[in-house]
Amino acid sequence: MGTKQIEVSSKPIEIDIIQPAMPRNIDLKDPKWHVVSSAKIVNPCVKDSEGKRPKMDHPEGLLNDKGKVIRVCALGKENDWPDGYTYLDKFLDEVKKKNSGDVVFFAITTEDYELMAYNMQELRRYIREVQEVIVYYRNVTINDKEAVGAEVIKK
Amino acid sequence: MQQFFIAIIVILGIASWWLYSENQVLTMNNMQLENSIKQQEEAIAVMKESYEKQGKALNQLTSRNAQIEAEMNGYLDIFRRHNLNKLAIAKPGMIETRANEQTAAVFESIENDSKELDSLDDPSADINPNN
Repeated sequence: MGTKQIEVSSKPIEIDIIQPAMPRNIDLKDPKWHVVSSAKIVNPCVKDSEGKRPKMDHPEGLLNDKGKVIRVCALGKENDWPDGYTYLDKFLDEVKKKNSGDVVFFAITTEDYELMAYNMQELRRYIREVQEVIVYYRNVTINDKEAVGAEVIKK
Repeated sequence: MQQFFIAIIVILGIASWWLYSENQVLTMNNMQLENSIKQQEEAIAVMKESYEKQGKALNQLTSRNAQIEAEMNGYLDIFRRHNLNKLAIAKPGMIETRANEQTAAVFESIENDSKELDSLDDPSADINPNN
């Protein structure tokens, strides 16, 4: 019988979450894309000492469709490509040169290139969104104040 | 008669003493409960602050995600607006340069994104929540 004295005890509840070390940043190497088609490559004239590409009338006086004299490079062409040399020809020549005369390369169509670009963007989006989630958890789990809870005990 | 009054006085005295001691205990209890309520209020305030912090961080996360999605759609929109196949047939040299530049740019942005996360450990970094 009678009133009992109560005792209130409070103890701080510390939630210690050890923050893990963040992963090393990504180090990527850039691949080189080769875009080739059957379009002809423009072979520019050789530059003179002033940096200009001088032209002159055709030495044999050849005329174009409009009856005018065809203009040709005064100092010749920059590259010794044959007439009608295309981007595809150039690419194949380069590949042959690299592989001792063999033709070997990995090809990708425009549609598949677009898919690769989409996949790359999708991966980047995922990395960034997961990264934001990590930042969120880190922000909310770093405690600057300790939580306090009270407990009432009847004697 | 006198003995009767003495008995009543004694009974009243005992009752008064009992009530006084009960009152003391109740006063102590009241003080302790008040103190406890104060501590509970403090705890609730800390919890409220924590929820507010979480809510704010969650809103920030949602808006950042929307921004990331929009940025991705912006990049992919380039393919929707242009016929890459047609352009590559006509001007392969130009498309080659752009494809290589954009690939390098995307890779660089991925590297920079990961640097941002790596810098969370760095106490001097701007993104560090402890700063």
